[in-house]
Amino acid sequence: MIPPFIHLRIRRERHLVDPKANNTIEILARLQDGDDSAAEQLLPVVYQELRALAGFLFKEQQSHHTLQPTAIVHEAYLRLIASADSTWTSRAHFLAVASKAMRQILIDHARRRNAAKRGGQGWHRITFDRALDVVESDTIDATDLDDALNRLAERSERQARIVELRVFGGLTVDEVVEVTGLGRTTVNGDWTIAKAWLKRELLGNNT
Amino acid sequence: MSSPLHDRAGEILLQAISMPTDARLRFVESACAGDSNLRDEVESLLRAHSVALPILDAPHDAAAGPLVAEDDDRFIGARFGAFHILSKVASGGMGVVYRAEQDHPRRIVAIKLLRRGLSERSAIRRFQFEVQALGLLQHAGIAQIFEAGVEDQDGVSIPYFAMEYVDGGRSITDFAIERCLSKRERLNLVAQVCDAVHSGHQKGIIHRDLKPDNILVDESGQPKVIDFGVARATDADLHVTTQHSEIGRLIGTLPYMSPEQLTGDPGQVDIRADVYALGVVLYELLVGQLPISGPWTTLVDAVFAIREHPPRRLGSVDITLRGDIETIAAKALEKDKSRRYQSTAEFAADIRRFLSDEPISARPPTAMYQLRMFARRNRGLVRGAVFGAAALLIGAVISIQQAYVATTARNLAQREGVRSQYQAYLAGIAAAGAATENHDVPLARRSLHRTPEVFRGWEWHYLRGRLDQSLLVIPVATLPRVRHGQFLDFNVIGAWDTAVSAWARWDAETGAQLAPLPAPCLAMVNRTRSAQLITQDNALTVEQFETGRRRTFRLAEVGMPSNATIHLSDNGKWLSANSLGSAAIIHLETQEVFNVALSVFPVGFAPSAVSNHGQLAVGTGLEGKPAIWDARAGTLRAFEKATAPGNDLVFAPNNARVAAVLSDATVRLWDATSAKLLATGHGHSNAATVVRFSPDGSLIATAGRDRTVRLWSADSLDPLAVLHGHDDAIASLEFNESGTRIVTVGAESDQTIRIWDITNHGNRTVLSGHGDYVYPVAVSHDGNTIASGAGDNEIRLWNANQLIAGKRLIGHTGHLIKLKFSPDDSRLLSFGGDETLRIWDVASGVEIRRHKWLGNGTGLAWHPDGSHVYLPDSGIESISLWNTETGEMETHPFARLAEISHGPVSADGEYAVVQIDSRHTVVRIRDATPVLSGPIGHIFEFGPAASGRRLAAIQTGSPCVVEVWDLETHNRVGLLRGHSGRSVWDIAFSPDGSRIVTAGDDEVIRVWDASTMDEIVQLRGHTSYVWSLVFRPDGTQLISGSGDATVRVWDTISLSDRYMSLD
Repeated sequence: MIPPFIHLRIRRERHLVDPKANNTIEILARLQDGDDSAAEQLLPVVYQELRALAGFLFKEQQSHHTLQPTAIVHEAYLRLIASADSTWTSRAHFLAVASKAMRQILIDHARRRNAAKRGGQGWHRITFDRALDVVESDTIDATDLDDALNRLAERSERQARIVELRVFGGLTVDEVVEVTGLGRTTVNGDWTIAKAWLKRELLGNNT
Repeated sequence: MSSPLHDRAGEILLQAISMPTDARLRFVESACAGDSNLRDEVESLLRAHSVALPILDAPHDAAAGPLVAEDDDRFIGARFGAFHILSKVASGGMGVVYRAEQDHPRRIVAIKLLRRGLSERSAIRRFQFEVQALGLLQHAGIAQIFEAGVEDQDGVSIPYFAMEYVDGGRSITDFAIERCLSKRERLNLVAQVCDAVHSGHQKGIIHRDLKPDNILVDESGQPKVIDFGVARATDADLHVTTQHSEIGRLIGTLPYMSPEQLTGDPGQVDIRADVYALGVVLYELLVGQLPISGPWTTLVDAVFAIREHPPRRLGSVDITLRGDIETIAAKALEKDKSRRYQSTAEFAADIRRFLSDEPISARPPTAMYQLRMFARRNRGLVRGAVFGAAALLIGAVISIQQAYVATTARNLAQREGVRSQYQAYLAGIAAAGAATENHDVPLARRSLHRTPEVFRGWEWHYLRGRLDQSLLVIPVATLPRVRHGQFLDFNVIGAWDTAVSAWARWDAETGAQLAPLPAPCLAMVNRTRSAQLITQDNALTVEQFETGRRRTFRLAEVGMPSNATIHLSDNGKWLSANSLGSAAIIHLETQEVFNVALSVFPVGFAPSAVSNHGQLAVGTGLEGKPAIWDARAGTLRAFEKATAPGNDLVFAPNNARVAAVLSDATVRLWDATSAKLLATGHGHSNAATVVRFSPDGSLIATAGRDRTVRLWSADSLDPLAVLHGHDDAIASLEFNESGTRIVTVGAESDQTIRIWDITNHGNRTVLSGHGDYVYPVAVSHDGNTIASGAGDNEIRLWNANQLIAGKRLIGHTGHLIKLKFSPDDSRLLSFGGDETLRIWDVASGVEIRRHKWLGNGTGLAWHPDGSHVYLPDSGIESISLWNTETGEMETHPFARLAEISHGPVSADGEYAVVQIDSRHTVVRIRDATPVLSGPIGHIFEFGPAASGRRLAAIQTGSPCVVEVWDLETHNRVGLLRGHSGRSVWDIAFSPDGSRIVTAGDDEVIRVWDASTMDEIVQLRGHTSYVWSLVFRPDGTQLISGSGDATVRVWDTISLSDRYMSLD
């Protein structure tokens, strides 16, 4: 008399990376063992995941918001790695790779958007780009930050790398220490200097 | 690449910032040693260092954060503006809350320090501006924000704001659990919160972060919404950092966020986001779980679920919530905000409509809408599926109240029609059950009346039987003329009929009308029936029944008009009279008169009762509030906390206390001498209009507009019972002389006089008497006798029709395990923990046979001819029968088991449950072969012949689940899930086979539909586990025995119908 209740499986994150379908964990293990080429293999996977996540979480997004890029990176970590093997060092190494990917994503996005503003794509902006508006900082254009970071790298590559890890990867100081092999004091000092330097560059005389 | 200038400037910067601020510039000056380039570089870096830039400063890790959890205590003792921090209250994601003292005005406040340092001046300004705007928000239900500021502590600017301190405040969910609030009270609380939030909305402020932690309830039960609008002021909603704990916190907060908040667009968020959040809070309060629940480990999962998954229907979590309240919750939780309540005021209004049983504005989603939603959720699937298949799927998804899905095939539509009608039936039963719990008889009656007849089963009759708890109903067509009824005699009810100036009279036992007793004019008998008062031709006559003395006088003689309201004291010696604010007390013997003159009491006084010694009268004074008049002293004193007008006041029989019912629906008890409040009774949902003490002074009974009669203990006003039956307000209530019965007269549309049995506090269907856990119950085949056995080693018999105690069978030296009436009901078989089987003569209560037996009682059964008792033992070789005539044990061929045909044997004698290798196995008796693939649980029940060959048994391994088997096909046809605790302890089939009833450790009796396996109704009342269940053979009663030492009778026939059907 009563039809059986049919459960429907909905394929959800179809545009997200299936953790089991790639060898992220294996690559990460090689990365931890000091195989630098592993980072190059991991980068595209992470890049794709981050793009998908940013789009998924905030697809209807219109204006800027305070969601940090690092939250998305962390989310990617949880999705790709945490379930399988979540040692503290693997997290640090993953985030280090992800920080590069995130930085690239933000810059690509900002460039596209700026092009659109100049009339290049007009109304045809894609959802993904609108989503990424979320993750931009309140007042700073990602391309400006990128340019400033590049200038910082001319003065201290180490400081620029630490900023990249902290800002785009969301690594803690301890994680930066783990990934870079630098001392804690050095990382702390560099981070303080780099922040002051970048703020001066980005905010100019407004301070 | 590196730059020496950059490196050197960095070094100096680090050293400089390690110094106090005032020393920095001097240090830089000297460190740069005249290098102006270097100095400019360092100074500009130093300036930049003190500025915050979110993208760089937000990802703080623990050591770099301005405020961190481990270090919360360091601010204790510190000053923030005018506030001195005393102690920590709570710590959350956004900040830490402390208790603090303010200087001017001197008061305790709560001060919240935000975790996120603000160093940009514009941000600080905005924060202060926003918070100060919030200070304008003033409502009893909102913790007011007093002040906001930014305080520099150790070089970090910490924003803070001070708000009202909620004394004893705890989250609304904790409060509800702590106080064991009823569902109604919970709903009321949410409605109050809605009001508060609405007042914020009217000022243009959206809360945006409503969750139980932000809705505190103080000691008095007043909810206080905290952090109103703070999310906006600090941009803290959906502020995420990389910290693990932050993600966790966010996932914890997400369930209260509306789908549009999760799109992250602040422009999309409006007051309807608060409606959604309150919908979640309502849901959580009612069933203790979230509408869309995890566990989620990642944001993606959480966001996806909240945006896409429909919330679980309330009624599927708790069937008592089916119907309107489910619809209200669903409307608040709509994903699409345009389909939600458009304001929290609308939401509150619907909750209140539900509470007062008015039709709610929300409508269950229509079939078309559900279909669209379904399609949206399953776009690919629906598009891809052929039409028929899609329709089938949709049919499975759509549930309640959808009448007809257009365009589906005819037979499908018919099937769906049946299903939806059935769902409507379940909803109607749930609504009727809830209305009965709320003592709303008319609503319960309407709900029952509306259910489709074809589905009506045991539970329908049970609920109908519960509509009236009175013992006797006397319909009175002339009721508008008789507003007061009382016992004139032990078994005579009288009601004064103004039209014929006579006492209309009825037999209090049978309800039969007796000849009216004419009286000269308006007459009344005082409460103790010691005297009668007759008014005639402006003269008052008081007749003392005991002495036969009559005394006549005129009210004018004591300065009162002839239409004054009069009351007699209980001893009939004093009379009070009042009219237009002036009042008098008259001693009938001496004609001594005490007057309350308007000049003495400008507010006036209207006595409701006068004490036996005439010194005191109670009544209503200023603004109708209860007061006591001491006639000798000439004082009028208000009772303590007499906060609302009184509807009725009475003296206790010893005149030491006064009870009153106030128009605020409370019952109050005062000391008559000191006027001090002794107790307050809550429970009436509308004002009571009459209050009486029982003659022995131990009970107080109240009744009034909420149609209930309530009994209270007279010393503390503890609620003892709530009785319902009247369809409309109750106009009068009086005890009988012995305090065992109450008579009430219905008002207006309810044209009945009712008599209530209040022995055992009106709980006549609760059979109490056993001194210990009740284990087995049994009912005789003729249905007239109930037997129960308990841990007190006693067997008690009860009259199943009158629900009164009968014989006690004493002899067992261990607790009782099993009871079975013989087929002719003349004997009762018992088995106890003392390992004896005994047979008792029911008529005399004498033990007539005894046998030592080592068993567990499972499967004991009488042979249908009453000559033998089947004693289950292991194996399929032979069976043991105990000859009750000779007391001999006999061994018989296994096939003879077929003759038993009840108990452990199916009704048709085909199957039996026997122990093989100490496991209970179903075997076909004919060839002694097992028919089910595995063993069944040791608690089992065969269905009656009417049900087909059914067997219900607890699941081996998970004894809270009951499996239902079809022995014809050997298939399991149902799983009854819902019970919790250690086990289901008993299973019963209704005699017609249409219902299965289960009960166990969780105290709840559940009634299931034996064909659909749906849970239909829950029977609650037992306060400990339910050990045994049995149906009366005619199906009219379900009897349960419980660890709370009572036997309850769940009767489909009302007490009055049972009572009237007796010889």
